[in-house]
Amino acid sequence: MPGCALPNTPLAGALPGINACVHCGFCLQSCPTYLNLEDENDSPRGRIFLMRSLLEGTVKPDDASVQLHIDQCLGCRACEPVCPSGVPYGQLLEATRATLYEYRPTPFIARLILFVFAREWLLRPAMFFSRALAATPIPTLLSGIKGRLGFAMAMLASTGRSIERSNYKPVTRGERGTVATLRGCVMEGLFSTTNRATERVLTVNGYSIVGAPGQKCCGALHAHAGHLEDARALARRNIVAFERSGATFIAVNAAGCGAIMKEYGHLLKDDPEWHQRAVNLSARVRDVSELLAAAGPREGGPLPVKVTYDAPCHLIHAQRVNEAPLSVLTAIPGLELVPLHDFDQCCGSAGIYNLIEPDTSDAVLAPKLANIRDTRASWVATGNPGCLMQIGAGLIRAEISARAIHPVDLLDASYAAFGQ
Amino acid sequence: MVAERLAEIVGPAHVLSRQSELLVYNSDGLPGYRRQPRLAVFPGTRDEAIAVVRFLAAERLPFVPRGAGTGLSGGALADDIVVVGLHRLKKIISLDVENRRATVEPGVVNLRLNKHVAPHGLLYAPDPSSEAACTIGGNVAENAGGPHCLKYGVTLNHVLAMTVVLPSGEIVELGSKVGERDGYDLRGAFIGSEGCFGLALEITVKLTPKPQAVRTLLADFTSVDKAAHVTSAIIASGIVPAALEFMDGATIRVVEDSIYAAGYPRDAEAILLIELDGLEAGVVADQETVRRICLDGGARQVRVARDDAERMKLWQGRKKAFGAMGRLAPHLIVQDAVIPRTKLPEILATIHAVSEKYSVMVCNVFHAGDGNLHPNIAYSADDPAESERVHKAMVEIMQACIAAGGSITGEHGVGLDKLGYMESIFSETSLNAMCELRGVFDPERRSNPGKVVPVHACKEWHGIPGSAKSRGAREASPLEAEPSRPIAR
Amino acid sequence: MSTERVAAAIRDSVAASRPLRISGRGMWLDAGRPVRADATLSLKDDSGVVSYVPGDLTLTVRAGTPLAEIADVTSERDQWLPLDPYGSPDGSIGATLATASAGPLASSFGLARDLVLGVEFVNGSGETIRGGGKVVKNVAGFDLSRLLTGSWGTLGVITEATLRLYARPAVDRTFVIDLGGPEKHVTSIVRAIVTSPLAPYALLLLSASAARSIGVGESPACLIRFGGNEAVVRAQVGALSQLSRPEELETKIWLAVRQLDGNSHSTIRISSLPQRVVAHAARMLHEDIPFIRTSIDPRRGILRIAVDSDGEVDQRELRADLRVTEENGGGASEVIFEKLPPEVWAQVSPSVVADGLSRGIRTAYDPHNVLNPGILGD
Repeated sequence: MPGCALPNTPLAGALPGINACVHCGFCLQSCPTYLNLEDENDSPRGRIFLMRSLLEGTVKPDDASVQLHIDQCLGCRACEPVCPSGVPYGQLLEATRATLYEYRPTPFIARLILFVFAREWLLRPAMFFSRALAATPIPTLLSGIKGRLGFAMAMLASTGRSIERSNYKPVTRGERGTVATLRGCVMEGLFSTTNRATERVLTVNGYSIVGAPGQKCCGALHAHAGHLEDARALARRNIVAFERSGATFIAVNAAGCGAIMKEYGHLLKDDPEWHQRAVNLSARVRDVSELLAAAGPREGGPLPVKVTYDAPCHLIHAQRVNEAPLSVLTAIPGLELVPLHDFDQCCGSAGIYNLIEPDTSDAVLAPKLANIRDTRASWVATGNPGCLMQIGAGLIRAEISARAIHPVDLLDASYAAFGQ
Repeated sequence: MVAERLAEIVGPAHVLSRQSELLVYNSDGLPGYRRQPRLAVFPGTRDEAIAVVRFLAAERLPFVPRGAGTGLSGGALADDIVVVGLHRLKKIISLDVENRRATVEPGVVNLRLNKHVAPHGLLYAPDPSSEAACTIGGNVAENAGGPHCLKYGVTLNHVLAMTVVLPSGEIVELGSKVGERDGYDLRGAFIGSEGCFGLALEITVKLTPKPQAVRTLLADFTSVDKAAHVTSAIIASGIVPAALEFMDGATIRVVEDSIYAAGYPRDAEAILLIELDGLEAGVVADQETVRRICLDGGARQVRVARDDAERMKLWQGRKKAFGAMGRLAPHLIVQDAVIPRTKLPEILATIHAVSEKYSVMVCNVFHAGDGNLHPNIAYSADDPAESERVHKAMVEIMQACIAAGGSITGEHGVGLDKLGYMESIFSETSLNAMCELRGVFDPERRSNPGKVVPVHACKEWHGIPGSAKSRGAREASPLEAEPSRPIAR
Repeated sequence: MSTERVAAAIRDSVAASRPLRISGRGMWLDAGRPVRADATLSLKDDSGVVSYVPGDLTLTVRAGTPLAEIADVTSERDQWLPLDPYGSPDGSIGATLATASAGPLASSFGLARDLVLGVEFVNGSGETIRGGGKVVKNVAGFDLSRLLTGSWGTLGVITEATLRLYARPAVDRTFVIDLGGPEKHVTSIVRAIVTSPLAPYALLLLSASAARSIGVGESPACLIRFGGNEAVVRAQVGALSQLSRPEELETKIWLAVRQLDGNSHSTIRISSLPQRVVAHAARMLHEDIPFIRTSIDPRRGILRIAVDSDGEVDQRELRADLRVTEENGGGASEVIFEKLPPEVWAQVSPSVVADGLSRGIRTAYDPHNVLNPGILGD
C-alpha cells in the first residue's frame, strides 16, 4: 500500500492478512452480527474493508461509527473456517482493537474487568465474592430483573448448577505423559468443580497431573479487547510457569483460553527473545477434550441423561476442534446425545461482549435458546466458561429447564457412577 | 433531508448516510472498482421497499439495487447515488412441494433456499459458486449460472414469475405462477437486466427433483491442452453431464493450500471435474463412456468420488477457488467470456501465450462444458507497471474470445466492468434497441444508471421527456471509465 | 431474400403507411388473430443453414428454413433440435420462434425460448438488430432474443436464429399405454408415472378421439417416449412395465401427434399447475366428444383442445372451454387461444399485450405499427 495512514501500528502489521481478502462475501452468512444487524459494516468483509480504509486513511481511527462496528464484532471467528483465502480474521480484529485503543479507551466496565483479571491480588477476592454470592439464593432471586444486572446475576446463578456426583479416587498410571492444567481465572473462580473434574478425568485416562505454579490469566480477554501489551505480559508469565512444570501437555478446559495459548507464538511474534519459547509452548497446548479423545476416552458408568452439544466458537472456529468433545460425550453409557440446530453458531457470550454490547448479545442468544428448547435435552454441554454462563443465564431467564454444563463434568459424573 | 425521509420509512437503523459507514458499500465482489454511494437504505418488508422506490420516484433520485454484493462485474456500484439493499427481504414465502415451486423474497440466499427444499427431495438448480452468500434477487438480476447450468440451464430457465416494482413505483406481475402465458416474455426480458428494469420483490422459482443417482469424476492431466481436447470430445459425444468443470495447475495448488483442500492432485497441470446424474442405469453407462474418453484423451487417472462426503469436498474446492486466490496476491481480476466449445484448446493456448507475453499469472478455473472461461489474474494494484500489464493481458484475452465468435460475459453480467466491450459485439442499432427496452421499464433511467449499455449508444438519451439534461450528464460520468481497468483498492 | 431486403420492405411499408402481414412459409397463417394488413412479407425464400459446427452443438439458420430441413441437416451428424411444435414440419423456424410454438418434447428440452441462443431481426423502423449470440451461455446486454420469441412478429421480423442442438439419443423408443380403465385407475397410473423417477423425453395423454385420430386405438391412451443410452431406456421400460402394460410404437407416431390439430377450427391451450392437471386428467380424457381432441402434458401442466369444424362447434368449444376452466379452479390457470375462427377472436379475450410495458415495447420497436397489426389483439 502506497502511503499508510497508520504506520507502526498493530493494524499496519496486519496488512498481509487484510490483503488476503478478495471481497468474495462467502463469510457473510457465517457472521452472527451480520445476520442480526443486517448491515455489511457488521460483517467480516465489511470490517476488513474498514480496517483497510483505516490504513488508507479514508476513515479516521476516531470515527465513532468505525469504532462501533469494530466493537460490535463478537470475535467468534466463525468467518475463518469458511474463508477460502484463509484471512486470519481474529488476529486482524485484535490488531484493529489494539490500534483503536489509543483513540478511545475501552468502556469503563470492560476496563474494570480487564484490570481485575490482570491482577491476582484483586482477582482472588473478586472471584471469592462472586463464588460466595453464587452460593446464596440472591443471584437466582435477582436473575429475573431486567437489564444487565439481572443478566449478570443469572450468569452467577448458572454457575451453581452443575451435576450431582459422588466422590471417587482416580488411579494414576500416567502412561500418556504428564499434564499441567491451566486453572484459569473464571474457571478457577467460578467453576472450580470443573477444574477438579478435569484433573480427575485426565488421570483416569492415563495422564499424570503436575502443577504449574506461577501461572496467570491467559490474557485472551485482553487480547480480544486490543490490550495487546497486557496480554503479552500475561503470556510471558505463563510461558515461564508452564516451562518450569516440565509437562508434556498443557490441558485447557476453557476454549477461549486454549485458543489464545495456541496463538502465543503469534502474539509474541515481534519479540525475538520470547517468540520461539512461545511457539514451543503453543505446540504443547491441548483442549482437554483433545487429550481425552486421544485416550479413547475410557468408558464410565451409566448416566441416563439427554444431552445436546453446543460448540464454543473458540473451540470449533479458532482451534478447529470439532469431534473431540463429541467423543467425550459418546463415551458415556446411557447418555443420549441429541443434535442441536446451528450448534456451530455463536451464543453471543464472546468473552465480556455480553456485558458491553448487551442488545446484540441478546439478539444472538435468542435463536440459540429456541434451538435448545427444541431439543428437549436436560443438559447443554459446552466447553467454555463464557458460553456456560451466557447460555446458562439465558436458560434461567427464559425459564427453560435445561442446564448448561462442561462436557468434562458429565464424564466425571459417569466415572463417579462407576466408582472410577 | 432525503435520509430523514427514508428513515421514516425503514427506521433510522437501516439508513446509512455517514461517509465512513457507506465505505463498505463502495464495491461488490470485484473490488477493483469502487464508487462511493451517497446514501444506503435497507427496507425490511416488501411494503417498505415499495415505499422507498416510490419516494425515490417522487424525488426523481437515481438508485442502485443491491443484493449480497457478491457480483463480479461492478454491477451493484452506486456513484454518489442511493443504494437500495434488498438483503433484509429474506422470507421464503411459500413452498409447493407437489408442483415443485417456491416463492421467495429477493434477499433469500441461494443456498438457504436449497437447504429449505432439500428435505423434500428437491433442489433449486442454478448454483453460482457464490451460492453460500448470493441472493435469489441478485441471481435474477444477473441471470446467474453455475456449474450445474450445463445440464439444467441458468436462472432464466428456472424463474416462473415475479412481482416487480418498476422504478416509477408501479407494481407489475411478470410471467405466471400457475402456467405458461401468452404475450411478450417480459419475465425473460427482466431476468438478467442487471437492476436496470426495477426490483423483483417476489420471485416464484421452479424446483427440480433430486436426481436418483449422481457420480462425480475427477480426471487429471499433465497438460492443459489434453484436458481441453477431452472437454470438446465429451461435449461432442452427446452426453450432457450435469457439470463439466476445468481447473488448471495453478488453481489446483491454490485450492489445495486452502481449508477447502479437496484432494486434487497437486502435480497435475489440469483437472476436469465431471458430474453425471440421472437414473442409475444411465449414469453407470455414461460414466464408463466418459471414463474412456478421458483415458483415450490422455488422462493420467480418472477417479470417482466414493460417497457424498467426497463429492461435496471435490465441489467445495471448485466453488471456493475464486476466493482462495486471495492467497496469491493482494488483488484479483476475473473475466467471464464464453467461446464456442470447439475453440477451447485454441483459446487456452492463446491465454497461455498472453500470460507469458505480459508475464502475469493467469489461473484458469471455469465451466468448460459451456465454454464459459474464467481467467483470473492475481496481481498487486500497488505496482502500476504490473497493473498495466494485467490490463493489457485481459484486453488481449477478451479480444481473442470475441474473435472466436464468443460473448463477453456468460454469467457475471456487463455491469461496469464490460461496458467498454459491448460495442465490439453489438452494433449501434442493437445497443439502441436495448436502450429502448430499458426506456420502457425505466423511462427516466434512474435504476442502476450507467450500467450494461454505454450511454452514448442510446441515441434518444437526451430526448427522454422528464430526464433533466444535467442529471443525465452527471450519471454519464461512471460510464466513461475505461473497461476492465482495475483501480487500486 | 436477405436481411437487407426485409429491412427495405419494412422501410417501404413505413413510407407508404402500408402495414405488413409477416409470414414464414405460410403454414400457420390461420393461427393468431386477424391481421390488419394488405401486404404480406414472406420469408419463404430466405432459408438455409448459415453455420453449423456439430462439435459446438449450435446451428445458425435463416428464418425461413423449414423445421424438416433442420431435422435433416442435423440428423446427418446424429444431432437434433428437440422442438416439435404442432403443425407441419414444413413450417419455418422463424414462425416457430415468433409464435413460441412447442410440442411434447418441451417438458424435457424446454420451450422455444429455452433453445434460442440468439436472433437477428428487423424492427418496425427497418433497423437490423441482433440479440444474444452464438454461444450456449450469454448474459451480454438485455435479452432481446427472449423478447422476440413469442412476440408474433410485432416487435420485429426474425431473419436469422442461432439454436442449441442436442445429440440424438442412441436409443429412442415410444410406448403406448391404454387408459381405457376406470377414472380412478387412470389417475393412479398417471400419478405414478409423474411422481416416479422415470424421465421420459415426452409424455402425452390423449382422449379417445385424439388417440383414434392418430391411430393408436379407440380408448384414451398415454404416449411415452424414452431416450438415452441403451441401459437407461431399458431400465425405464422395465420400470414402466411394473406400472402398466406398455406396447411399443414406432417413433414416427410423434409426427402424427404433431398433426393432432388437423384442420381444427379452434385450438385452445390451458396451462395450470401440474398436479391440478393430473388430478383432473382422467375425467377430461374420458369425456369423449368426437369433435374435440384433447391432449394433456401432465408434467408441463398443459391441456390442449382441438375442436373440429362442425355445425355444433361453437357450443361445444364453449363447453369445453368452460368445463376445463371451471375444473381448474377458475383463475388458477392460463388460457391461451392458439387458433380461433376470425369472428370469435373479438369475443374471447382482450389483447394479451394491453399492459403498459407491452404497449411501450411495441411502440418502441414498431412505432409506425406496420408489423402484424392486430395479431395480438392490439
